Amino acid sequence: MKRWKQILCLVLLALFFISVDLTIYFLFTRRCASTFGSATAAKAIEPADYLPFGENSGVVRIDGVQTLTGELPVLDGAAALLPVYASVFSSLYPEDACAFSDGSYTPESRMQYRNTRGAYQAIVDGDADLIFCAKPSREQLDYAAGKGVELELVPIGREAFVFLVNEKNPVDNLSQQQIRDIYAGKITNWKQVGGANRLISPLQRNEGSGSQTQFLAFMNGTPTAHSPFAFLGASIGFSFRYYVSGITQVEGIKLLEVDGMAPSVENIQSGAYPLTAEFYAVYRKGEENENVQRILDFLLSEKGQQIIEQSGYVPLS
Amino acid sequence: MSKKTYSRLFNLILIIGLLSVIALTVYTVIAYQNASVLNYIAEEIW
Repeated sequence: MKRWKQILCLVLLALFFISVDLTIYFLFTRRCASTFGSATAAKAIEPADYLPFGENSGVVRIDGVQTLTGELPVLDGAAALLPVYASVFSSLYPEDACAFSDGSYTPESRMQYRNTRGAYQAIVDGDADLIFCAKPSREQLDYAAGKGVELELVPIGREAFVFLVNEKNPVDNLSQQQIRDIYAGKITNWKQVGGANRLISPLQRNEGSGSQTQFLAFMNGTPTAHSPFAFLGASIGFSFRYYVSGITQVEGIKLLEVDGMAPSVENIQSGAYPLTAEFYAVYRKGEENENVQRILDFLLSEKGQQIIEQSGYVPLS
Repeated sequence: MSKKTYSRLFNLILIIGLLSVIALTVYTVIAYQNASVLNYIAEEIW
């Protein structure tokens, strides 16, 4: 082989691998890398932004409420509801009950943030006394039953369970049946629902997360499936409305209308948006700490519901 | 360039190239397990 042919061959080989690497990077790695690491994934919300007594904190403080005394319950909960229970803490707890250091709450703090899975485990294990979450998953209920703990769920507000796509995806609306068919693997291309000719990549969350539990309830036992090449397609995912549009405010995301109804506050309140879900304050049945009941009474009062509304969520009435 | 040198260079580029693809794929799969759904969708190329 002539020398120039040898060099050309080597250059082409190198270019081939470079182009494969760049394709993988721009199609997939770049989209994952910004949240690489379990710490980042578990804390998609920054707790320092919602410190109960922090300056420029995003919490709502209701004045004129009697501060709790005696044994103070440990509050914990989901990332999506951190603004709510941080606001409850800010309105009802003394400032010295909160201890935050190096990006997380210290073990002695009465305010904690372990996200849904950690919070359900904490309340069953006795490490938390009142948690703020979506409904527990089957596994979380089994874990509680296994430890002989019965959980009481008190609805404190409403939220929309939303499906979301990239903002450039031309599809704006899907019916509930279409969404179920997408996740069941019966609809595999966006053009089948009036969109572009691209495969659908149906994304799910980790088992035990609040939105994944809500998703499984939505599927109502229908098994999920997807094409082995679905990862090459355009994605659809799910979450709760305020987590997407209020807390994380990730740009480039579009919330889908479901059955022609947008997940607006008005449509959630009126019940016109079909996928609304209540969120709960959860405690152990037989809880003897009277402050738990005081917090629940406060949450269901006018002032408590003000916290729900001013934190960006939808109150019960 | 002798045939031997060419052959060595070819194999070297081939091995480095394959290793880089495997390493990037493994890194991506691990990152995907922990990726935020919101970021993953927002960064989609259209």
